[in-house]
Amino acid sequence: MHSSLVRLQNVFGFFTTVAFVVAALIAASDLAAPRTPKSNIQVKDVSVLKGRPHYYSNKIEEYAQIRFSLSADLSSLFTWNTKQVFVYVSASWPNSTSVALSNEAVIWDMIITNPSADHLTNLGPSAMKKLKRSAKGKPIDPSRGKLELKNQKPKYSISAPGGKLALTNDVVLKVHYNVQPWVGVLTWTPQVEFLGWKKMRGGVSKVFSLPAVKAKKQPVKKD
Amino acid sequence: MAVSQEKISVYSLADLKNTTDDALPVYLNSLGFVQSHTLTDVRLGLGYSAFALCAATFYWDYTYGFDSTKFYTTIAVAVYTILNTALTFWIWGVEKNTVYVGTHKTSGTKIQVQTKTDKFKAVYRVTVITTTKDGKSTTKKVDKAFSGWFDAAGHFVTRPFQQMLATNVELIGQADPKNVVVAAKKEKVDEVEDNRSMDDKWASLLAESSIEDAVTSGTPAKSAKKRGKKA
Amino acid sequence: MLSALQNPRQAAAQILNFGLILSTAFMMWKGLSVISDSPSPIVVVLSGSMEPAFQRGDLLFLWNRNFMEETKVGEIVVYNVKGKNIPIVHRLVRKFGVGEAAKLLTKGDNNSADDTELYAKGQDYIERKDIIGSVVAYIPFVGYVTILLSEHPWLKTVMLGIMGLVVVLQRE
Repeated sequence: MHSSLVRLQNVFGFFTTVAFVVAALIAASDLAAPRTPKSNIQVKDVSVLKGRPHYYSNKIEEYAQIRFSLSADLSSLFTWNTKQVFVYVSASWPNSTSVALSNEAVIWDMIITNPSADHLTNLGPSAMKKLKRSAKGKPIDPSRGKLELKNQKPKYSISAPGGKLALTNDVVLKVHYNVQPWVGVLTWTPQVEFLGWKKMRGGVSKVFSLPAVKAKKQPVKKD
Repeated sequence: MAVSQEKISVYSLADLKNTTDDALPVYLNSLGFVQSHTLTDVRLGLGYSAFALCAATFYWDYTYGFDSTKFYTTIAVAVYTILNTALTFWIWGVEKNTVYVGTHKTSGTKIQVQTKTDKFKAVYRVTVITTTKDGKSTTKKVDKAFSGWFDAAGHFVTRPFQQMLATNVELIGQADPKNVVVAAKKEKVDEVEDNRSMDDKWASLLAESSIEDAVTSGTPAKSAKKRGKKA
Repeated sequence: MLSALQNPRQAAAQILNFGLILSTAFMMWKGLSVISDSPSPIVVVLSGSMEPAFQRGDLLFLWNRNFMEETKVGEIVVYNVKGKNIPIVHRLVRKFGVGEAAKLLTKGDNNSADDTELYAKGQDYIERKDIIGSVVAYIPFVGYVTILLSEHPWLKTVMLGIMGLVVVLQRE
C-alpha cells in the first residue's frame, strides 16, 4: 500500500507542477504580443426622455439615450491566450461640485470571443452555427477585433441617482476593453504604456452636453 | 529479539531508513550513552508554537471576522513566517539529519549521529561526530548497504547492524567491544563489495545474515533482553 | 510503522508534520488575505452569469486595495449583499460619485438586466465596502474540486481522513 500511494502522490504532484508551469508560461506569453489598439468614437444623436425604471414603478426619472458611431481596430488583442475581449463604451460626466469625471456609466458593450471560446457563448443554435462558421476552423481570428458601427443605438439608456440628467454638460464617451485570457492576468485599457502594450489611440469622443427633456412622454426600459 | 517481529517493505527506502534510525538510539542507549533530546525539543517547540499561533488566528478570524481582526492577523502571519523560517533553519542548518545525540556516562565523550540516504540507492550514509571531554572532535563517515542488516523478507536483524557500527566507529567499538569484527579480511570484503553487482551483494549478504542468525540464536539472550526492555 | 507512535517525541513530531501542513496552508491563505486586503482573495465561480468569461469552477484571484485609482466601471468585482451569504462576481457598469460613498451598479455579462433585483430590498446600488475584491487573475477549472466537495460533503470527510492517515502513518 505504502509505495503505491507514494507513487500516486508523486505522479499527481508532478502532474500539478507541470500543469502550473505550463499555465504560467502561457500567461507570461501575453507580454510578448504587442498591443496596439485604436478606435474612433463620435457622438451622434443624443436625447433625454422621461421614463420609469420598470413597469410597476411610479418613479419618473430622466433617461439619456446616446447614439454613437464607433470604428475600432482591436485585432492586436487576439492571441492564442485570448478567451474573449469585452469592449464597452462609457459615458462620463462631472458632478455639479467638481470638474472631475466622477460619474461613469456603460451605454454599450459587446463580447467578442476568440474562436477557441465560441462554444461557450450564450447563443441560440442558429446564431452559434453562424458564429462558428465565421471563423472557419481558425483558432485565432484577429479580424473579429475590427468594428465598424454607424449611428449605433445604445444598449443601455442611462439614468442618475437623483433622477435628473437633462442639460448635463461636459459629457464624454470613452471606448474601453477588457481582455479575458484563458489563463493568467486580466487586463483593461492601460493607463500607462508597458513593454509592447500601447495605450489606446483615440477612443475618446468630443465633449458634448445632454439636451433638455424631450416633450414626448414615453416609458423607457432601463436595462 | 535479534530479528524484529515487524516486517517492512525492502523496496521502501524511507522504511529502511526509519527502522534503522529507530534502532540506533536503542542500541547506543544500551551501551551507556545518555541521549540528549535538545535538538528535537527545540524543533517541537518551534513547530508547536507556530501551530498554536495558527490555531489562535483561526479562532479569532472565525469568531470576529476578517476586517475587525486584520491588524492581529497581519502580525500573526509575520510571526508565523519567522517561526517557520527558524524551524526550517533548525532542521537544515542545525539538526542536519541528526538522529542521535548522547554523552557517554563514564568517558563523557559526546556522540552525534547523522544519517541520510540518496534517492534510489539502498545505502545508509552515517556521519558520526565524536567530541571528547577536552573538546577534540573527530568525524567518521560510513556508507553501508541496508541489505547488511535487513533480510530479504524485510526483517531488521540487530546483530549485523550493531557490528557495523561497533566496527566502524571507534567510540562505539570501545563501548561495545564484543560486536567489533576484528578480522581485517572482513573490512577488505566490504570494500570489494562495492564493485560487485547488486545480485552478488544480495547473495553474499543473505548468506552472511543466515550465518549470523545461527550465531545469535545460539548465544544466550542476555543482551537481547536488556535491549528489549529499553525498546 | 505504528511502532513509531510508541515514542512520544516521535509521535509528537509526526502529528506536528500534519499540523504544520494544515497550518501553513491556512497561514498562506491569511497572508494572501492580508496582502490583497480581501477576506477571500481566491474565489471559485459558482454560476454562469459571467459566461463566456467565467465558467462554473474557474478560479479567480482578487485584489481589494486601491493604490493608484478607485475601483472603476468595467472592473469585475466580487461583492456581498446584506442577508445573502454567497458573494456574487459581476461587472461594474455604473458609478456615481467618488470615494466610499460612490453608488455602484453591477451586471453579469451573461444577464440581460442589471443586478438591482439581486440587491437587498429597497437597495438600488452597492457601495465600495460591499466589495471584497476586483478580479485580477484567472485560472480555469481548478476550483471545480471545491464545488464537488461542497455538493458532496462526504467527500470532505473521506479526503481529510485519508490525508490525516497518510501523514501520521508515514514518515519521509
